[in-house]
Amino acid sequence: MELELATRHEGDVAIVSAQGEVDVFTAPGLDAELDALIAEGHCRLVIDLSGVAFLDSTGLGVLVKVLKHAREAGGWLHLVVTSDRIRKIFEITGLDASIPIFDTAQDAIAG
Amino acid sequence: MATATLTIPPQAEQVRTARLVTTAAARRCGVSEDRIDEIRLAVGEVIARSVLRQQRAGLPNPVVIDITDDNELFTVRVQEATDPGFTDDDGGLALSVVRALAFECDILPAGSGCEIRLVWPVASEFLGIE
Repeated sequence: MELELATRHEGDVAIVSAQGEVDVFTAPGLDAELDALIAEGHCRLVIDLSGVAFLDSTGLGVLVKVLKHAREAGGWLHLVVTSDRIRKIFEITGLDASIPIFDTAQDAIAG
Repeated sequence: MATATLTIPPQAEQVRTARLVTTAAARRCGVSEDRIDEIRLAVGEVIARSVLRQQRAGLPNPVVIDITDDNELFTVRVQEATDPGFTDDDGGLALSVVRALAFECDILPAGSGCEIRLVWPVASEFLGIE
Protein backbone atom coordinates (compact mmCIF):
# COMPACT_ATOMS: atom_id res chain seq x y z
CA MET A 1 0.00 0.00 0.00
CA GLU A 2 1.60 3.29 -1.03
CA LEU A 3 0.04 6.72 -0.98
CA GLU A 4 -2.60 8.09 -3.32
CA LEU A 5 -3.43 11.78 -3.35
CA ALA A 6 -6.48 13.50 -4.78
CA THR A 7 -6.82 17.29 -4.81
CA ARG A 8 -10.00 19.30 -5.22
CA HIS A 9 -10.88 22.92 -4.58
CA GLU A 10 -13.74 24.56 -2.78
CA GLY A 11 -13.55 28.29 -3.19
CA ASP A 12 -10.04 29.33 -2.26
CA VAL A 13 -9.40 26.18 -0.20
CA ALA A 14 -7.44 23.28 -1.63
CA ILE A 15 -8.38 19.91 -0.15
CA VAL A 16 -5.86 17.09 -0.50
CA SER A 17 -7.26 13.66 0.33
CA ALA A 18 -4.67 11.03 1.14
CA GLN A 19 -5.23 7.28 0.96
CA GLY A 20 -2.62 4.79 2.14
CA GLU A 21 0.46 5.18 4.30
CA VAL A 22 2.61 8.24 4.94
CA ASP A 23 6.12 7.11 5.83
CA VAL A 24 9.76 7.68 4.90
CA PHE A 25 9.09 6.35 1.37
CA THR A 26 5.83 8.10 0.55
CA ALA A 27 6.25 11.36 2.51
CA PRO A 28 8.32 13.01 -0.28
CA GLY A 29 5.38 12.57 -2.66
CA LEU A 30 3.04 14.31 -0.23
CA ASP A 31 5.65 17.05 0.24
CA ALA A 32 5.93 17.61 -3.50
CA GLU A 33 2.16 17.82 -3.99
CA LEU A 34 1.73 20.34 -1.17
CA ASP A 35 4.76 22.38 -2.27
CA ALA A 36 3.29 22.61 -5.76
CA LEU A 37 -0.06 23.82 -4.42
CA ILE A 38 1.58 26.56 -2.35
CA ALA A 39 3.78 27.56 -5.30
CA GLU A 40 0.59 27.94 -7.37
CA GLY A 41 -0.79 30.31 -4.75
CA HIS A 42 -3.04 27.89 -2.87
CA CYS A 43 -2.16 28.66 0.72
CA ARG A 44 -5.41 27.66 2.45
CA LEU A 45 -5.01 23.93 2.73
CA VAL A 46 -6.97 21.04 4.13
CA ILE A 47 -5.24 17.67 4.26
CA ASP A 48 -7.75 14.89 4.77
CA LEU A 49 -6.01 12.01 6.54
CA SER A 50 -9.16 9.95 7.12
CA GLY A 51 -7.97 7.44 4.50
CA VAL A 52 -4.46 7.16 5.98
CA ALA A 53 -3.66 3.92 7.81
CA PHE A 54 -0.16 4.87 8.96
CA LEU A 55 1.63 8.16 9.60
CA ASP A 56 5.09 8.53 11.11
CA SER A 57 7.44 11.36 12.01
CA THR A 58 8.58 11.83 8.41
CA GLY A 59 4.97 12.61 7.58
CA LEU A 60 4.76 14.95 10.55
CA GLY A 61 7.87 16.72 9.29
CA VAL A 62 6.15 17.38 5.97
CA LEU A 63 3.04 18.72 7.69
CA VAL A 64 5.06 21.05 9.94
CA LYS A 65 6.94 22.39 6.92
CA VAL A 66 3.70 22.93 5.00
CA LEU A 67 2.12 24.65 8.02
CA LYS A 68 5.04 27.09 8.10
CA HIS A 69 4.95 27.81 4.36
CA ALA A 70 1.18 28.22 4.28
CA ARG A 71 1.25 30.70 7.16
CA GLU A 72 4.14 32.61 5.56
CA ALA A 73 1.97 32.94 2.46
CA GLY A 74 -0.89 34.32 4.53
CA GLY A 75 -2.85 31.08 4.66
CA TRP A 76 -3.38 28.13 6.95
CA LEU A 77 -3.29 24.36 7.22
CA HIS A 78 -6.10 22.27 8.71
CA LEU A 79 -6.20 18.51 9.02
CA VAL A 80 -8.97 15.94 8.99
CA VAL A 81 -8.21 13.01 11.28
CA THR A 82 -10.84 10.39 12.06
CA SER A 83 -8.75 7.55 13.43
CA ASP A 84 -7.46 7.32 17.00
CA ARG A 85 -4.37 5.55 15.66
CA ILE A 86 -3.41 8.56 13.51
CA ARG A 87 -4.44 11.12 16.12
CA LYS A 88 -2.12 9.48 18.63
CA ILE A 89 1.12 10.58 16.95
CA PHE A 90 -0.08 14.19 16.96
CA GLU A 91 -0.86 13.88 20.67
CA ILE A 92 2.48 12.22 21.49
CA THR A 93 4.42 15.01 19.77
CA GLY A 94 2.16 17.85 20.91
CA LEU A 95 1.48 18.83 17.31
CA ASP A 96 -2.26 18.63 17.94
CA ALA A 97 -1.80 21.98 19.69
CA SER A 98 -0.14 23.53 16.64
CA ILE A 99 -2.12 22.19 13.71
CA PRO A 100 -5.93 22.43 13.89
CA ILE A 101 -7.49 18.98 13.56
CA PHE A 102 -11.12 18.39 12.56
CA ASP A 103 -13.41 15.38 12.29
CA THR A 104 -14.77 16.19 8.84
CA ALA A 105 -13.56 17.91 5.70
CA GLN A 106 -16.45 20.37 5.86
CA ASP A 107 -15.49 21.41 9.38
CA ALA A 108 -11.84 21.77 8.31
CA ILE A 109 -12.80 23.94 5.34
CA ALA A 110 -15.01 26.16 7.47
CA GLY A 111 -12.19 26.38 9.99
CA MET B 1 12.27 -18.38 22.78
CA ALA B 2 11.31 -17.59 19.20
CA THR B 3 13.60 -15.41 17.12
CA ALA B 4 13.39 -14.01 13.62
CA THR B 5 15.96 -11.93 11.80
CA LEU B 6 15.23 -9.64 8.89
CA THR B 7 17.90 -7.86 6.88
CA ILE B 8 17.00 -4.96 4.61
CA PRO B 9 19.11 -2.69 2.41
CA PRO B 10 19.10 0.96 3.57
CA GLN B 11 16.28 1.92 1.22
CA ALA B 12 13.13 3.80 2.15
CA GLU B 13 10.89 1.44 0.20
CA GLN B 14 12.02 -1.49 2.38
CA VAL B 15 10.89 0.04 5.66
CA ARG B 16 7.24 -0.93 5.16
CA THR B 17 8.24 -4.57 4.64
CA ALA B 18 10.11 -4.52 7.93
CA ARG B 19 7.08 -2.97 9.68
CA LEU B 20 4.80 -5.67 8.32
CA VAL B 21 7.10 -8.52 9.36
CA THR B 22 7.55 -7.13 12.86
CA THR B 23 3.83 -6.55 13.32
CA ALA B 24 3.05 -10.08 12.15
CA ALA B 25 5.60 -11.49 14.60
CA ALA B 26 4.08 -9.49 17.45
CA ARG B 27 0.60 -10.81 16.65
CA ARG B 28 1.86 -14.38 16.38
CA CYS B 29 3.45 -14.27 19.82
CA GLY B 30 0.24 -12.97 21.35
CA VAL B 31 0.99 -9.31 21.96
CA SER B 32 -2.26 -7.61 22.85
CA GLU B 33 -3.97 -5.80 20.00
CA ASP B 34 -3.83 -2.46 21.81
CA ARG B 35 -0.02 -2.71 21.70
CA ILE B 36 0.28 -3.74 18.05
CA ASP B 37 -0.22 -0.17 16.79
CA GLU B 38 2.43 1.09 19.21
CA ILE B 39 4.88 -1.54 18.04
CA ARG B 40 4.16 -0.84 14.36
CA LEU B 41 4.81 2.89 14.80
CA ALA B 42 7.83 2.61 17.11
CA VAL B 43 9.58 -0.06 15.07
CA GLY B 44 8.78 1.79 11.86
CA GLU B 45 10.30 4.96 13.29
CA VAL B 46 13.50 3.20 14.39
CA ILE B 47 14.02 1.38 11.12
CA ALA B 48 13.29 4.48 9.05
CA ARG B 49 15.68 6.47 11.21
CA SER B 50 18.41 3.86 10.72
CA VAL B 51 17.87 3.81 6.95
CA LEU B 52 18.04 7.61 6.73
CA ARG B 53 21.13 7.81 8.93
CA GLN B 54 22.96 5.28 6.79
CA GLN B 55 21.90 7.07 3.60
CA ARG B 56 23.20 10.38 4.96
CA ALA B 57 26.44 8.71 6.05
CA GLY B 58 26.83 7.00 2.66
CA LEU B 59 26.86 3.54 4.22
CA PRO B 60 25.44 0.74 2.04
CA ASN B 61 25.39 -1.79 4.90
CA PRO B 62 22.11 -3.59 5.48
CA VAL B 63 19.96 -2.70 8.49
CA VAL B 64 19.42 -5.81 10.60
CA ILE B 65 16.26 -6.36 12.63
CA ASP B 66 16.17 -9.11 15.27
CA ILE B 67 12.78 -10.00 16.71
CA THR B 68 12.61 -12.09 19.87
CA ASP B 69 9.79 -13.22 22.10
CA ASP B 70 10.16 -15.26 25.26
CA ASN B 71 6.42 -15.45 26.03
CA GLU B 72 6.68 -12.54 28.48
CA LEU B 73 8.62 -9.93 26.52
CA PHE B 74 8.59 -8.94 22.85
CA THR B 75 11.97 -7.47 21.91
CA VAL B 76 13.09 -5.81 18.68
CA ARG B 77 16.74 -4.95 18.07
CA VAL B 78 17.64 -2.76 15.10
CA GLN B 79 21.32 -2.70 14.16
CA GLU B 80 22.74 -0.01 11.94
CA ALA B 81 26.24 0.85 10.77
CA THR B 82 26.30 4.52 11.80
CA ASP B 83 28.14 5.61 14.89
CA PRO B 84 25.89 6.31 17.92
CA GLY B 85 27.18 9.89 17.93
CA PHE B 86 26.00 10.57 14.36
CA THR B 87 23.39 13.29 14.70
CA ASP B 88 19.80 12.99 13.50
CA ASP B 89 18.51 15.70 11.19
CA ASP B 90 14.92 15.65 12.48
CA GLY B 91 15.69 17.32 15.79
CA GLY B 92 15.17 14.02 17.60
CA LEU B 93 11.48 13.77 16.64
CA ALA B 94 11.60 10.09 15.64
CA LEU B 95 13.31 9.05 18.87
CA SER B 96 10.91 11.10 20.99
CA VAL B 97 8.01 9.20 19.40
CA VAL B 98 9.74 5.87 20.01
CA ARG B 99 10.45 6.66 23.67
CA ALA B 100 6.78 7.55 24.19
CA LEU B 101 5.65 4.20 22.77
CA ALA B 102 8.17 1.57 23.89
CA PHE B 103 8.28 0.22 27.42
CA GLU B 104 12.05 0.13 27.12
CA CYS B 105 14.25 1.87 24.56
CA ASP B 106 18.03 1.65 24.70
CA ILE B 107 20.67 2.78 22.22
CA LEU B 108 23.86 0.78 22.56
CA PRO B 109 27.16 0.71 20.69
CA ALA B 110 27.42 -2.39 18.47
CA GLY B 111 30.75 -2.90 16.76
CA SER B 112 31.41 0.21 14.71
CA GLY B 113 27.70 1.00 14.62
CA CYS B 114 24.87 0.91 17.08
CA GLU B 115 21.81 -1.01 18.13
CA ILE B 116 18.44 0.24 19.29
CA ARG B 117 16.60 -2.20 21.54
CA LEU B 118 12.85 -1.89 22.07
CA VAL B 119 10.89 -4.00 24.53
CA TRP B 120 7.19 -4.53 25.23
CA PRO B 121 5.41 -6.93 27.55
CA VAL B 122 3.39 -9.54 25.70
CA ALA B 123 0.46 -9.40 28.12
CA SER B 124 -1.86 -6.40 28.35
CA GLU B 125 -1.17 -6.12 32.03
CA PHE B 126 2.03 -4.19 32.69
CA LEU B 127 4.63 -6.50 34.17
CA GLY B 128 6.67 -3.83 35.95
CA ILE B 129 9.76 -4.11 33.78
CA GLU B 130 12.82 -2.55 35.38
